[in-house]
Amino acid sequence: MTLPLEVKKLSKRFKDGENYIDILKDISFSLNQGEFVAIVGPSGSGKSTLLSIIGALLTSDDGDVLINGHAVSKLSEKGRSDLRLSQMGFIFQSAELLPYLHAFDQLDLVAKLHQVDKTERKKRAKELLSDVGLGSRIKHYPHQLSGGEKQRVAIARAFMNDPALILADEPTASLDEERSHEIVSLIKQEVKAKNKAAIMVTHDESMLSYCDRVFRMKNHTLIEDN
Amino acid sequence: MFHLAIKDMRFSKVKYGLIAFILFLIASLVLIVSGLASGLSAQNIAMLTESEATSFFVRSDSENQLDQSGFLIEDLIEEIPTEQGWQPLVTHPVRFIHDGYVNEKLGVTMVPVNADTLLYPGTIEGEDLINSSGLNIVVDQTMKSDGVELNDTLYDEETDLTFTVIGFTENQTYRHTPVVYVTEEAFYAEEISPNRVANGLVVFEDNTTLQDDISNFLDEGEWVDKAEVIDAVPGHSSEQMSLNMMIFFLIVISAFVLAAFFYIITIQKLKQFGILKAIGAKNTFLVGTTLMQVVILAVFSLSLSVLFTYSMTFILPEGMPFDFNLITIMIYSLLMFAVSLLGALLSSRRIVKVDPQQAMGGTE
Repeated sequence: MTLPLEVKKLSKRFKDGENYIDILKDISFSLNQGEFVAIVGPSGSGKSTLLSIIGALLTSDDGDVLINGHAVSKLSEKGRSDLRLSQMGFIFQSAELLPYLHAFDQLDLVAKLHQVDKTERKKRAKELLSDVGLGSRIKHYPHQLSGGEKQRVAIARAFMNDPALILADEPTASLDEERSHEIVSLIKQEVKAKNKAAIMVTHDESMLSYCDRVFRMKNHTLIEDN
Repeated sequence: MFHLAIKDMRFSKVKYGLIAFILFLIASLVLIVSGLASGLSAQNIAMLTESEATSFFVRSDSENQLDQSGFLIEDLIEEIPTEQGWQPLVTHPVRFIHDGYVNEKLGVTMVPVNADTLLYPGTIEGEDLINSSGLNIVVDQTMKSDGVELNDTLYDEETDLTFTVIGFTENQTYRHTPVVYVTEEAFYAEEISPNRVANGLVVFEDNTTLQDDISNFLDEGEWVDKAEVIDAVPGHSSEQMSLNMMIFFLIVISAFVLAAFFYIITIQKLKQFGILKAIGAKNTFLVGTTLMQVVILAVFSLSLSVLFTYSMTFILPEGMPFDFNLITIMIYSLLMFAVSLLGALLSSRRIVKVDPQQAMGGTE
């Protein structure tokens, strides 16, 4: 069976003046379907860089990432873009919705980019929005929604193209504690319900209880909690 | 692409509305100035551009200006009769007094014609010169805005003659004055001119033998094209050049204003473009959406300004030299449309350069 995510001996260096600094060294792990994992670490430890490489936004220097069996390093820029559209759902730090689209259109747009036909788009968007508890607010614009509601729309958007992998980059950074627990448990609920693999980068230890496995960034490499 | 473009513009109505309004104003100015340019040009040279004449015989030292040129043609008419295909063209400036308004003289250009020839354009209203004798005149309809009506009389102080307006013609103006046609018989019978003279001679189709005969007979002149005579009409080139210069600068300005506005809007949206790229949107989609917005704005504003310019033809006073020429309007509109797109391409470069990775890490 193809795993939704395989990371193989991944390394990344950045040039700093005349020297190279290792950001990521020899990182390997893989995820199964329905698995929700967290990556924690102090800021600057490279967890966002790792998420960018897994998300095909940045290329690695060594090693490779396989998304649902597709080797990212072999893809062109356009190929990576297509991969992101079809196989990955992104949840950003602060929802990052387009200010001029209401909730339904936010979801509709990503499916349209993926050339999903209209009736299917409509069906999926309505289902997803009611899954995240916004069934009655589908025509609301971002400025009419609270921070937690915006993040719910973003979660629904991430699932819109039925991706293999969900990548959440500090999804609770701009929310209060109560809201944070709601959002993370909602991500977990959706990941389990739709049997997807998901990675959440966070520095909030209280969110780790929702995750199946926890990785810590230490000395540029990833160590799994037991 | 189209829907996203529209939704964005609907959401930021004020921002895009302002750009549309500025484009509308500049485009209207371009179109109105161009209307003025062709109106002024018509006032100055319409008699020549509308003329059936193809070549003009003018004095070699006249720099192709009809007013600087002149021949005594009594002998020529005897030697080479006009029936062979040429006509003398006389432009005789007259200042008329209309119905006793002594203080308001109407400057006109009197042109004596044989009404059976191509030199005479015919009438659109009233009686024709062909059937008339005596001091009857056919005048350009622009004189209506001076209050001249059919059967009015116009008095020339200099010759102490009174003319009767029997008909109107159109598009017959020369050097910003209406042209007034009178029969040759009347013109010479009343001794407005003591001799048979002509500012220039014209032919209505090129005829080398005839033209050579004439130039051999009157050796101080030369044959030139109609276009050369038009270019030499005093004021024409300088007038048109300064107005065209204004139009040119307005178009350049509109390009830069639009480019600047769109550049700023694009920079405001760079983060959005980064997010969209991270999610999987392609450059072609994002650039396409931005160009689509320019197209929508430009089509909207330019259509409005064409309508506005058209409505100007009803608002402007009748004597105003303003000419709503659909072909010129279309050319300038298309030019402004192309220039707007060009300006927006500047922003496209910024969109292509956005790195989707910036979507990650939030504010880090």
